Amino acid sequence: MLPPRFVLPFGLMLFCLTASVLPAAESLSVRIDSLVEADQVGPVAAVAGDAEFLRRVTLDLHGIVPTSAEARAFLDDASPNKREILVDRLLSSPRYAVHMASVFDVMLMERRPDKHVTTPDWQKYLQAAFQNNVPFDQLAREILSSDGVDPTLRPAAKFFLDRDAEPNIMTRDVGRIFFGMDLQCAQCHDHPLVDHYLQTDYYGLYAFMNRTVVFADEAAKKSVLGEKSDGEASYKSVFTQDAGHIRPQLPGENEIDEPRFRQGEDYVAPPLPGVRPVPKYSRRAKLAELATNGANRQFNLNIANRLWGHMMGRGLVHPVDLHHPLNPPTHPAVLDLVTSEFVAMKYDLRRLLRELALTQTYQRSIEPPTELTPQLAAAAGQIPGLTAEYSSLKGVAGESQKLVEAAQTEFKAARAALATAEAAWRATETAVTAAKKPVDDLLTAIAKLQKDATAKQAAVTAIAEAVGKSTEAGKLLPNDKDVAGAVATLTAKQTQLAGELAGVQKSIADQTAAMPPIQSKLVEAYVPADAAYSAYVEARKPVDAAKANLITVWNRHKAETLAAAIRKKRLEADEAHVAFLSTLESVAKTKAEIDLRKTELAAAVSAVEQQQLDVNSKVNAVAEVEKAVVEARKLLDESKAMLAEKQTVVQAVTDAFAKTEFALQKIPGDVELTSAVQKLKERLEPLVKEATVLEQTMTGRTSAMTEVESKLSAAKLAMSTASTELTNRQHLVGEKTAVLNRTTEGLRDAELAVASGREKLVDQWTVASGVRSLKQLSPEQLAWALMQSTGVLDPQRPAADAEIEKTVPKASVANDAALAKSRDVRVEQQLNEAMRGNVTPFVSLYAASAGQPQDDFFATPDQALFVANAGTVIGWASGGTLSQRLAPLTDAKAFADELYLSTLTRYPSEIEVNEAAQYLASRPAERPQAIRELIWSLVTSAEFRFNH
Amino acid sequence: MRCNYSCGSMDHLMARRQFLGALTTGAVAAGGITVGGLSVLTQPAAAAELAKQQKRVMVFNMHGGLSQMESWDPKPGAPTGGPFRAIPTSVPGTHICELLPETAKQMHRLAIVRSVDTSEDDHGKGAYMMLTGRRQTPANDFPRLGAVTAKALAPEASGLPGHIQITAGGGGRTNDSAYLGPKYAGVIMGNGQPPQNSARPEAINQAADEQRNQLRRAANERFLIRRRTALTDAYTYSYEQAQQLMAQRDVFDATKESEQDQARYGKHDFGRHCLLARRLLENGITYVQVSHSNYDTHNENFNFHIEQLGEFDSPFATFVGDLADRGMLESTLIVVLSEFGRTPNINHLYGRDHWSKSWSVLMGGAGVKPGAVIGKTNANGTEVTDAKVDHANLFHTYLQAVGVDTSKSFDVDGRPIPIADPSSKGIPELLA
Repeated sequence: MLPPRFVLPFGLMLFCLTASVLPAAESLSVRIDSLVEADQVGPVAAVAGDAEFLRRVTLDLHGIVPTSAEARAFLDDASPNKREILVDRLLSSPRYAVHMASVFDVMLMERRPDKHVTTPDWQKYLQAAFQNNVPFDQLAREILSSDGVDPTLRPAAKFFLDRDAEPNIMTRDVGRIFFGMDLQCAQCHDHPLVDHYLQTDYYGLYAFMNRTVVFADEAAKKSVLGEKSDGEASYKSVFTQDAGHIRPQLPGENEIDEPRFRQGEDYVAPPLPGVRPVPKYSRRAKLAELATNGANRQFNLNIANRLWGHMMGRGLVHPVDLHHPLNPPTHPAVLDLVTSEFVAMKYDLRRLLRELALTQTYQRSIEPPTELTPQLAAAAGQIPGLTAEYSSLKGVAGESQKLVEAAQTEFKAARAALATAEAAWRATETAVTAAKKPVDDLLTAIAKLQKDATAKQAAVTAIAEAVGKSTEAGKLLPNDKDVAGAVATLTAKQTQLAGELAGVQKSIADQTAAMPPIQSKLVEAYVPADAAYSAYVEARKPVDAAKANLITVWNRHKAETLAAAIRKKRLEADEAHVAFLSTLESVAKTKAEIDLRKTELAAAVSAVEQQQLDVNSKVNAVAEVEKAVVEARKLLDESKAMLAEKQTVVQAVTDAFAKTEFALQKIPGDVELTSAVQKLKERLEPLVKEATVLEQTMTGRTSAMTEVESKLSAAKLAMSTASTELTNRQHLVGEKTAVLNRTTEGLRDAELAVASGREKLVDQWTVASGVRSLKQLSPEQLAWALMQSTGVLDPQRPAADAEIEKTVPKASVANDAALAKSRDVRVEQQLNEAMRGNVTPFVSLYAASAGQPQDDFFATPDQALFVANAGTVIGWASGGTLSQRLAPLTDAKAFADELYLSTLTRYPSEIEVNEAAQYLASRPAERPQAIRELIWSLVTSAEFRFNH
Repeated sequence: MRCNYSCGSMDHLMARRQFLGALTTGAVAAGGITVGGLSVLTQPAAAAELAKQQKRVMVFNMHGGLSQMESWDPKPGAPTGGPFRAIPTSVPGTHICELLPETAKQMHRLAIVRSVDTSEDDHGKGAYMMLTGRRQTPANDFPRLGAVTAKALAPEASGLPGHIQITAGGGGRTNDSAYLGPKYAGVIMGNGQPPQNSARPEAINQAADEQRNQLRRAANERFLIRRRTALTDAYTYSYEQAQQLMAQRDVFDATKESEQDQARYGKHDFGRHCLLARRLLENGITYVQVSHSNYDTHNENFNFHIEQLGEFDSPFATFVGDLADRGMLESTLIVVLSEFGRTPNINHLYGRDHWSKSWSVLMGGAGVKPGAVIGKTNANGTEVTDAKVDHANLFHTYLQAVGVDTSKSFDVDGRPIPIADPSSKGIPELLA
C-alpha cells in the first residue's frame, strides 16, 4: 500500500483535476508540459532551435556531440517530426546504453577506485541493462541484493563490495543514491541542520545492511558478500542521550516485522572458517525487495527526480540527495506525475527518458524571455491569497507538530514499559548464545579436522599410486637397491599416513559423537528463549502500536510542512517578481522625474539667457550715460576754463582801472590818466558782460552735468539689479543641474537593481524549468565531445569494428537482425574501452573527488593550463580528421560551415565566416597552424564547455 | 536549526560572491576576508590594500613524527631525556633542545603547545587527524587544512593557486579537498617544480597564443550575449587565471631570489623549499605546506635528529626572521606539526617509537600569542599534566589564528557543512 500522500494545497488540486480530465491518450510529455505551465510563476523561454536541440539531446542520451554530417542531415531535414525521430534513433542506438551506463556508474559509484569488481566489468553489466532496457526496479534490486557469487550478477555487487560493505558508507550511499536523503549527519544525533532527518531514519536504513560482510573466498580467489544473522542496530544520541534498538525501517515507513530464527537454526550456511555466511532470513535481500516493490514513495521520488535532473540539468528537488519537507520540489505536481507514471510504466527507463526529451520543458531555449509584464502583474495579484494559504498551512503543520510530540512521548513511555520483558528475553538469548558456543566450537573443530582429513586423504591416494608404480618398477628391476629402498620408504610413508588419516577420522567420529549432549543443552536453552520471546512480542504490541502512530503522525506532519513550504516557495517567487516590478516602476518613475527636471533646467537656463540680455542692455545704457557724462563734463570744464580766463582778464582790467583811478586821485585831472580811466572803464564793461555770459553758460552746463550724473547712477542701479537677478538665475541653474544629476544617479542605481533583479529572476525561472539551464559537460562528455569534434574518433570506429570482425564477422550476422544488433553493441563497447585512456586525463582534472557528489561545477586554472599547453587538445586539434577536412576548403563559407558544424553543431553567422577567413588570410604561410588555432578557440569556448 | 534551501540556484550564489561582489562589501565569507570578485582587477589599489591584510598559513610537516624530547619539550637529565641539553631561548624561562640553536633565537615570535594528546599511533591516521582536525571515519572524508584555508581565505579572483604543497617529487593536484571540491585541492610543486602545464608549448609562440585566445574570447562574447551565468563566468575566467599564472611563472622559481638569500637558506632541498615558500607567501599564495622527511626514528633516534634538525634549524629560523622583518608575520600563521611525537622510552636500538599521548606542536605568527608556552608534561614526559589538547582543538586554533570563525558552516552547492568539528573548540590561551 502506498503511504498517505501529502495533502495537496487547493491550487494544486485544481491542476491535478485538470490533469486528470485530460484525455487518457494524451502523452506523458504533454501532461508534464501542461502541469509545468499551470504552475509557472515567471515567463517561459521559447523552444530552442534545431541545432541547439540536436546538440543537447545527443549529449544527454549519447554523451557526445553529433558529427558535422549528422548535424547537416538533421538541420537540412524538413520533416515536422524530426525531433521525435531523432530521439527514437538515439535511444535505440548502442551508444545510448554505453553512455547511460557511464552516467549510472558515476551516480552509483561516484568514481571510487576499483576494489573487487573492475569498472569495465561493471559498465558492461550496466550497458547490458540499458541495452535490454532492464526496468530500474529490477536493476536496483540486483544491485542491492547481489552477493557477487553468481557470475552473471557479480558486477552488480560492486556497489557494496567496493565500499567494503562498511555499514556506515552503505547507509550513507544507499540513503543518498537510492532514497535521495543524505542522512550522514544523523548518524550520531538527529540531523542538526535538517529538521526532518532523524537518527532513527539513519539506523532504520543501517539495520538493513550492518549484517552484510565481505567474505574472501580463497578457493575462487575473489571477494563476495555474506551476511550474518545477528547484529543489532543500536543508536544513542550524543545530544539527547535518547537510545534504543531499531529494526529495519525504510524512509517514511514503519519498522518491519521479521521472522525469528533460533540461534543455531538461523543459517543456511553458518559462519564457520572458510564458509561464506548465508542466513535463512537476509535483511539486505529484504531491503532490495521492499525498496523496489513499488510501494516506497521515497525510492520512487528519488529515481524520478534524478532522471528529470539528468535530462533537465537540475532536479525538481535540488540537491538530488536532499529530499526533505523544507526543500520542496519546484513543481510538486510534476514530480508526482513523473513519479507515479514511471512506476506505472514499470520503471521503463527508455520510455521515461523519451517522454522527458519530447517535452517542451526539455526543449526550452537558454535565452531568457524579455517580455514579462503580464507575469509580473499576475504575481502581485496572487500574493494576498498565497500569504493567507501559507499562514494557514503553517498553522496546520504547527498543530500536527504537537501531535508528533505527544506521539513521541507515548512511544517512549511504551518503550520504557517494555524494558523488563525485553531484558528478560535478551537474557534468555544470552543463555542460548552461551549454550551455543560449545556447539560452534565443536563444529569449528570438526570442520578443521575434515579439512585436514581431506588433505590427508589426497596424500594417501597419491602415495598409494606412487607405491603401486614403484612396486611395479621393483618387479622390473628386482636387484636395484635404490628402487627397493624407495619402495620401502614409500610403503612406510603409506602406512604412516594411513594411520594418521585413521586418527583424524577417529577424532571426527569422537567429536561428532560428543555433539548430541552439547546439542541437547542448546535445545534445552531454546525453550525459555522461545517463551521469553513470545512474551516479549506480546508485550511489544503497545510499543508497535505507539510506533505506528508516531510514524503516521510524523508523516502527516512532514506532508503538511511540505505543503506549507511549497506555498512559501511560491510566495517567495511571487514576491521576487513583485519586488522586480517595483524596481521597474522605480526606474520608470525616475525616468519621468528626469524628464521633469530636464524641463525645469531648460526653463532656468532660458531665464538666465533672457536676464543676460537684460543685463547686457543695462550695461549698454550705463555706458551710454557714461559717455554723456564725459561729454557734459568736457563742456563744463571748457566753460569753467573760459570763465576763469575771462575772470582773470576782468580782474586784471578791474585792478588796472582801480590802480589808474587811484593814480588819478593822486594826480587829479591828469588827462592821460583820465583818458586811461575812461578807456579802462569802457573796456571793463563789455568784459564783465562777457564774463557774465560765460558764467551763465557754466551754470547751465553744471546743471546739465548734474542731470547726466543722476542718470548714470540710475542706470548703474538698474544694471546692478539686473546682474543680481542674473546671479540668482544662474544659481538656480546650478541647483537644477545638481538635482538632475542626482536623479540620473538614482536612475543608474535603479537600473543596476533591475539588472540584478532580472538576474535573480532568470535564475529563478531556470530553477523552475521556465528557461533552460546551462549544465557542464561531464569529464566523459567533454573528452568524447572533443574527440568527436576534432575527428580523433573517426578512425577509431572502423578500428573497433575490425577488432570485433576477428571474432564476429559482419557476414556471419548479416541475415539476423538480433545478432547484427548485438554485434553493433560489441563494436560500441570495444570503442568505449579503446578510448578509456583518452578519457582518463579529463576525469582526473574535471571530476570531483572519489566518493563525493559528482555534479557540482568547478573551473580551475590547471584545467585551462592542460587545455592550453599540454599536448592532448592541441594534438587533437591538429591531428584529427577535422583539420584534414578543413585544409583543402578554400571557400570561406564552406570552411566555416564545416568548422562550426563539427565543433559547435551549428552553422556559423556571417561574422563568424568572415572572422575565420580573415584569420586564415593573416597567416597564409602557416595554414595548418591557423586551422589548429581556430579549432582550439572554438572547443575551448563556453559554448562548447556547456550543454545548452 | 533550520536549513533553508529556498534561496534556490547555486548559480546565483556563486554569481554574487564570485563575480559581482563589491570589493568594499568584501564578502566576509565564513568569517574570513575574501578579496572578492573581478573588482580586484578593476580596483588594483584597493586590492593591494586588502592583499596586505590577506591572511596566510605556512605548515612545516615533520614527516614520520618529530621527537618532542629532541625539540620543543626537552627533559634533560630524566631517564627518558636522552643525551642532549636544553638551551635557553629568546623567551626567558623557555628552553628547547640544543639541536635547535637558531630557532631558539626566534622563540619570542613563536609559541609551543606541549600538551598534545591525539591518542593515535598510526602514521596515516595521525597525519589525517592533524591536518583535518577529525578522526578518520569510513563514511565521510574531510578536507585538509590547506583546502579549508584556501576556501576560507584565498582571493577568488587570483590567478595564482590558493593552496600549494611542496613535496619531494611528482606534480599535479592533491586529492585532499573532500567535499570542498578540487578547486581547493593543493597544487603540487614536486621538488619545487612549477605547476604542471604552466609553460607555453614551443609549437605556439607568444603572438599565436595571444591570437588564439583572442579568437576564444570573441567566440565567448558571441555566446554569452545569449546567456551568461556564474558558471560561464567561472569557466571563461579560469582561462584568464591560467594566463595570469603563466605570466607570473617566476613566482614559482626560487632561483630568482638573490644569491645571498639562496646561500642563507642553504642549497639543500629543505633550504630551497623554505626560500620558495617565502617567495610564494610574499606573492600572495594563501597556504603553503613544506614537508621535511624523515623523522620516523625507531632506531638511532639521536643521530637521526642531529642530522635532520641540523638541516631544519637554520632555514626555519631564517624563514621566521625574514617573515618578521618583512612585516608578514602578523598575517602569516606558522605551524610545525607531525602525525605524532615519539616515545619517552628509549628502545634497545637507541630509537624512539610512535607516541601520541604527550607531544608538542609549534605555532607562531598571525593571531598566535608570541612566546607563549601552553600545557605541561610530567618529569619523564610520559603524560600531559596541564591543558591537554587534541587535533580538533589545534585545527580550530589554526583557523581562528587567521580570523576564521570556526563555528560557521561552508555552503557547498546548497549543502551546509561545518568548517571544523562542531563538538570541539579552539585554544583561547594561545590566541593574542
